[in-house]
Amino acid sequence: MTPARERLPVALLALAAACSTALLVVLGARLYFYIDDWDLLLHRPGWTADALLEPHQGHPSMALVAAYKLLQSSFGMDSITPFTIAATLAFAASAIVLFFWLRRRVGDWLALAGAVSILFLGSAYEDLLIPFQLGFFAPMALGIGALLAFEREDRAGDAWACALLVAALAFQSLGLIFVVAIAVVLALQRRLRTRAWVVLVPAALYALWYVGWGRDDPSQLSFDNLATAPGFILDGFANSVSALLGLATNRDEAPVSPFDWGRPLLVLALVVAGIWVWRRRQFSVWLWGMVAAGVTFWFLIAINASEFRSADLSRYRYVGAIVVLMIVAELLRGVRVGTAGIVATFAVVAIATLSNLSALHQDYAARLPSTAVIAGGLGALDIARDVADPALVLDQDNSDFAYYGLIDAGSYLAASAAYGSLGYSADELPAAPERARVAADKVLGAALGLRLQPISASAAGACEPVAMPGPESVPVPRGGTAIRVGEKPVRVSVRRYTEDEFPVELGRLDAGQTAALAIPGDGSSQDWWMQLDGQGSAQVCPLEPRA
Amino acid sequence: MEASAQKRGAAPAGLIERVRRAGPGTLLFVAALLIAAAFLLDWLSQLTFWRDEWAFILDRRGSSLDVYLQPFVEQLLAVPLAVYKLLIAAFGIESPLPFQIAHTAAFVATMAVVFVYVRRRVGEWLALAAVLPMLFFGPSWDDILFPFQISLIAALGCGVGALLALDREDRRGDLIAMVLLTIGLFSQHVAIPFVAAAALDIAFTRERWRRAYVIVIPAALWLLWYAGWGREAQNFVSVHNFATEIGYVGDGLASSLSSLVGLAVPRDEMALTPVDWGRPLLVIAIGFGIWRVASAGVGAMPRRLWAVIAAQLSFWTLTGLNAAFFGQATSGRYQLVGAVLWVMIAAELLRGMRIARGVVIAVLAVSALSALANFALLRQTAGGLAEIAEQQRGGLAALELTRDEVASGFTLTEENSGVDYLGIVDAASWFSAIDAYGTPAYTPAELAQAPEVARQAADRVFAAALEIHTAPADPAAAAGAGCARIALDDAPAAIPVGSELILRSVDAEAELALRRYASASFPAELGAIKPGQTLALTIPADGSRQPWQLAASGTGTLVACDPEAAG
Repeated sequence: MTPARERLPVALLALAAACSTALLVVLGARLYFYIDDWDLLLHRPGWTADALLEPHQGHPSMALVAAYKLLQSSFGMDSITPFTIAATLAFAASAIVLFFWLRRRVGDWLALAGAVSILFLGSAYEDLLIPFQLGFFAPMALGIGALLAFEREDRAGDAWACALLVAALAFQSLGLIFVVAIAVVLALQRRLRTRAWVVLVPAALYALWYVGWGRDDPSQLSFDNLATAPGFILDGFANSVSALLGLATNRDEAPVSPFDWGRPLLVLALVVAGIWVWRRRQFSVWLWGMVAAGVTFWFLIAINASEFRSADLSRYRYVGAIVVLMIVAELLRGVRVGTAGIVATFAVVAIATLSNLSALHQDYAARLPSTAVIAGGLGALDIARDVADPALVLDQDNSDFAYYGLIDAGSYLAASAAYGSLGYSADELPAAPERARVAADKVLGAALGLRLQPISASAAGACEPVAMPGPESVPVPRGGTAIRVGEKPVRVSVRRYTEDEFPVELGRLDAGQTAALAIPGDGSSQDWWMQLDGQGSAQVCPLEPRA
Repeated sequence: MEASAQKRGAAPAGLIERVRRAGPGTLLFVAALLIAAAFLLDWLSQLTFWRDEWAFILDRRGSSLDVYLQPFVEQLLAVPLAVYKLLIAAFGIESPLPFQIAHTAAFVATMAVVFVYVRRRVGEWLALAAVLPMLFFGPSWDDILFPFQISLIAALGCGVGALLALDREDRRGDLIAMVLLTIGLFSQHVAIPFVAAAALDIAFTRERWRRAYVIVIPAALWLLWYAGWGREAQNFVSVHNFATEIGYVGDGLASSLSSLVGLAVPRDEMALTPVDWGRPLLVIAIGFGIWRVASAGVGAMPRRLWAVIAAQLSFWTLTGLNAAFFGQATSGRYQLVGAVLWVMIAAELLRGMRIARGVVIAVLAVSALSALANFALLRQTAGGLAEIAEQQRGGLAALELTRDEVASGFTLTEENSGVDYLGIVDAASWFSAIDAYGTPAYTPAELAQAPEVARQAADRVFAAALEIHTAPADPAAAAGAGCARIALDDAPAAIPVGSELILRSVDAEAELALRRYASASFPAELGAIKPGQTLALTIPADGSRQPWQLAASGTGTLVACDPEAAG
């Protein structure tokens, strides 16, 4: 092979990595921080040990927390782009080190095919579109790097492997799969006595962290999860195989489960691999190391499985697919694959990539609308900054988005004051999409504590009748208003930025009742409107009687 | 005298010698079998009679031939019925324990027979691996945790035992096989595929005509039954079932295969059907079978292989032909039969094949993991069944306490008791049976201390059996002494009720419900009261002194009057 031809696969890899990075940054920059991001952005103040070492969903995440802190302090949080770039670069790095790992086993071209299939693994959209998944990408890049270093079989390589494993574990428990892989290789090579420190040091540090911080985190560990783990592990591999082959992408006319094709293909693959192993007899110990890594990955999820941790999830496909590629590479190690085989492999990768890019776009399009909702809600929280109760927690009811309890007004407003906000400003909100304005009105209703307060009829000033029956909207004077209800009950709701509806329901006033609606001043000059809906009559009155 | 003493002494010595000679795989199997039996008895001891068992107890009284030979749905269950009758006569029905012990013994015996069958062909370690997942066979919980299924398990055990006896290829073996096939056919139709297998097995021998009686006698007896009783039984055979057999048989084979390897156990976070893994596994299993037969040569395969394949195919074909809503190919109760037949097919395929030690270890590991998954499902299900048993014991206790009031035709249903008794348990049959055999229901004292689900079931049955309901009443009756105004304010009010209560709604709109033994809820719903309405609630006296409480949940104000207090 000429030097130019030798360099071609690497050049193509660089091109593919650049394309993938550009695509993911462009898509990711149009989205917003997602659920787990908020834990790192809002709830880990300072550089204390606890801020760094407290587990996130049971995982160590000190390196991830530190990365977020650095990005937040350097670039603020009024743009998601720096976070997206960091995550995407780590993702590309993981695919590049994977290429170098695969190349040693199956040669340049098949390694390129494997790396490209990961770079465009759109069916792992939950990883690729959320910057928080830096917590997956970094340990994968570091872990594969550790395997490469370990393969040098010298002291410097071992030291690097050990350091990289420690770094991988500092991002997430995912690093454990590489610790297990190297431990299995060492055990099979009977070299535990001389080189075990490579895995013992990271394992001991992980254990220390676990004893100090990790063990207090809630866990889903149960006998049933343990007993059914083998089925879960097989399902996990099935999910990975179908994702790699582009067979986990939903279609419009019928939902697709990753297991529909994944299970039969996995069974077939296991049989073929079994026959292959049986006939060939001799394999590198790395085959068993990589099998152990894959089984460990799915086993750790299986024993802690829950509604949010099932074997079919998109976010596990990235790791699962890489492990499957590494196992396949070990099986094919030393096999000469001809040009026809390489062309066929690239044809499969091309078809799978097309399908996976479609999956990526599907998820991106589904996620995009919620970006406006989040920006509207958080913009409203900024507007209500001086009035909002710090304990207010945003949820589906009061913001149209499920933040899983991770955004409370106190933490968010402190962070947005220090690092800026991605929320719409008071000036941007009127031109924002309707769904953003609905979310903003709901958040404002909650943050300003809007409610109907019963008062005596005499407390209201000179009243003016509202055209009833039927829904009727009236402007609300600054400071608020009083409502006096006639002979039949009236339902009251308000809006501010919304145009098509009154999203803030304030409840029902009974016949003859008088109530005050106080509206505290905030950071917006936009007027409030009120809708009265009933079959009787009602009057609106100044909140404080004129002298 | 001396000789008999020697014989008496020889028996335990022989047993000890056998144990000493048994390989470690066999000893491990025995240990696993004992552990399985212990778990089963523990789980079963928390249950009571259930569903079809009530039909045996309540509907098959007497000792005429018809009692034994009338088809049960469409099955001939004479042997299990005889076992139930024997146990009822000996122990009554106060405790289901004797029935549970008999069922567990049948299960243990069947598994032992399967182990022996497989061990003879592929050795003790692979036999252990084959049977281990079936010892805790969660997918077939409705066979293993339901003593009524002694019928299926006995038929299965007899079928496998008959094939094992045919291995002897002598007159004694043939006689044993004939007897076992007859007992199997009179236990449940699951024995039919084994009759087919035995027929094929004998047909391949030179002495086929001399040995034909092994099949002819049981088949003739069964046909006699069919001509006399069976042909009038309800069945679901249809052209549609026949036309779609291929899919049903495939799914049945797939389900039992995935159940055997522990891949039919659903997890909380994700739905799973037995065919999800079963279908791809079936394709591979068929591929392996074809490869094995092709590589060894058809003539080199044992003739029994074709017999057990015929048994497997005929089992699913017959089941599919008669399938209805409750007879899907994925139904748990069929999987045990399918799994046993899979194991027998595998044993015949591997017979005489040299299997590497590493492969045996791998198969054992897979088997252990499968057993663990199946055990988890069995354990989960046992917990659910224990709750149903508590509800039954509570509901039946209530039925007994209303004995002087309840209509004889009153039937327990899921709606009035929380448990589906399949329409079998009616008051008259129940009281007649408990007079004769005792009762498994809670006593009044036990009911007061029983778990909440049992007390809720009891309250539902009380309300239904006593026909407690509200009726329109004169508003004038809801005034004066003994009346109290109750503001509901969205919080349910609990109002003590004697034998009668008058309720007048001032402006209340509320749902009414009663309780007696329950403490966490008001399980007996009485409907609603609307503004301005006056209702009377009358509660007949019965065998319990436990007071009633009425809950009114809604808004507005009620007036509740106790006429006894006013009088």
